[in-house]
Amino acid sequence: MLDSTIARGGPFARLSTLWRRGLGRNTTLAVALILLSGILFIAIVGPWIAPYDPIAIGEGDWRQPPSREHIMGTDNFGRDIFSRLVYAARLDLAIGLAVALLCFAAGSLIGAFSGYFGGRLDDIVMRLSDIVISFPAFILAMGITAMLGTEIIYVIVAVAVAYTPYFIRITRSEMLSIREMDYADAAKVAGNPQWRIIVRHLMPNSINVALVQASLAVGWAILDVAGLSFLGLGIQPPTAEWGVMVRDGVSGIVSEEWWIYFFPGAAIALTVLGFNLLGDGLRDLWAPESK
Amino acid sequence: MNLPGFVLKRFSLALLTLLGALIAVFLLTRILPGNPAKYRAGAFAPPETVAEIEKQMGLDKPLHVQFARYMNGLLHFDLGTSWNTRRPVADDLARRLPASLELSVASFLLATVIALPLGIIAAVKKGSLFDQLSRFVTTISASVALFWMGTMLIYLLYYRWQLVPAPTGRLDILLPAPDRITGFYVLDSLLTGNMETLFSSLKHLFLPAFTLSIAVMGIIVKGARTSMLEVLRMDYIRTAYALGMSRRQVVLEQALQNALIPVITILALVFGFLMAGNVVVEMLFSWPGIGHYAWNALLSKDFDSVQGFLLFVSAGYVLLNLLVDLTYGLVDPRIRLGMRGKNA
Repeated sequence: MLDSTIARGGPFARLSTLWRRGLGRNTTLAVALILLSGILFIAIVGPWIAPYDPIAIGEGDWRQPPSREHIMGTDNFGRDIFSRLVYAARLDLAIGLAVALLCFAAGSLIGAFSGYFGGRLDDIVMRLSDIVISFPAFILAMGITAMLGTEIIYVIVAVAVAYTPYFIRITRSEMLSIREMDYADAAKVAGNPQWRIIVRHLMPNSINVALVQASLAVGWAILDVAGLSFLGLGIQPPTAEWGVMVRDGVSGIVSEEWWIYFFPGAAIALTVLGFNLLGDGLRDLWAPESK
Repeated sequence: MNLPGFVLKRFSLALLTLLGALIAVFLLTRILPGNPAKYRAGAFAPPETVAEIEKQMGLDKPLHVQFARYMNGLLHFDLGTSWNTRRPVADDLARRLPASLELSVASFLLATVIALPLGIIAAVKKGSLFDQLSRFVTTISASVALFWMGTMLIYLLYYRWQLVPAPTGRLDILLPAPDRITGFYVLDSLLTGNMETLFSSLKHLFLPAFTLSIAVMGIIVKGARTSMLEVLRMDYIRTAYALGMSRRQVVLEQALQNALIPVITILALVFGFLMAGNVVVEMLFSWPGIGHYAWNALLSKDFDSVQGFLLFVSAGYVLLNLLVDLTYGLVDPRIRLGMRGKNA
């Protein structure tokens, strides 16, 4: 019974009442959801709407400006930019979501236990987070991929490692106040084991902030992975990835063929914007006082 | 907590973090599977060659011996030797640091001049057009890839409109560098009274600095706005209004200085973004700073240089954080008395 009352306060229950509470009044969230569902749709149906092969080298149509055959033009190898863009959407979204999921899962669990138990464990966790945070996230990710290698999975891990401490900190500080609440005592008195108190009773109430953070983290991850790839330290060509595509357009730094780098960069900006707005919208929804 | 206790605690925490970062960099560059000796020897090198290079690099020794050597080197400011330049990494970094600092300082100033007033005014006129504008700047700054922004700015401002010089470094190609006093070309030109290099360096500095400033503008706008809003909600502001002061007086004479204090705390964050942005911007503009150096080192697995760069950035970050904490604790006693959480 106690569970159900607490679950009602959880984020997922609230999502169902989202519409009634007026998605229309939360324009940020509405714009974010529309933008993101559009991008997600394109990513899902990508292989069916892409008119050309994203990798195969085109025949003779190098660096064609946007035209009816190639609505976003072609790149240095005659590949259709629109097709590559659409395939890249899958990869970039998948990477962004994977990073955010890893950070969210690891960060909120570690943060919750660390905050709840305090003491020595908490000290160790906090010092370790301080160490990771003492490297700017992008630079740490750069170092890790340079040493680990540039396979997709390593790139994901590198970026996730760099951002996890932020999730640990944020969940921990929530936990510090939540564990003092009456219902925490109630759950304890009811005889729940400690892990159950943390996971079932307390975490659902600390998870909102972590979810906001997670949706922002998808954006950061996409930016960082594209940045790594642009520098040659992330996803490698000829894979269709937005950062790789911008890089393709910057041969010789200045190039007249603006369409080669304009469209993928714009895709990054729109997607990241979507996740940033989602984060802001969720925050407005769950903690309107911080607006 | 009294003042010496506060300083001591912050200091020892920073030292601990720094030590941890040293160990982390050591582990990162030795334990992870990418074997630099193998990379150096080439893909088809026989195992004997790899072993030989490993021996040269000291990688055949047990880990604790390697660590002892590493720490011993650090104590003597020895960061090893760069494989690319064949020079001591510490020298390389020191020689290239002024270029990066000049770029970072210029972007920081540019960002502050634009973003700080924007954030302050946005808070004072909450909900106004200005506020919308500030939100727009913040969102753009957080959503746009720096490397893309830079590319487009180069295309428009250099290629299309010829407003700025080619992105090929700090000066016109034929121009000799000014005599080195600080390593900041703008300052050195001024000090030596060399107008030609002064204008050339300013022209070359503008676009990279502006590009880089976009990376931090959003953080500064947001920081200033949040902090100002918090101050404006305080009782003493209401009292000031009640005493009949005008809004102008209240904002400029009462609120502003208190609102600027918390803005200090984002400085470390700003430094982090500037450092990461430096790598991208220096690569785009062929800017001969440590970011460019690190990029080359990372691509060619120049092990000691990568290590040196990571150590430098992390040490800078920790020190700056310490400085910020101490300043903040000094200016605002509530912090050291533990009356406000760090995230308050």
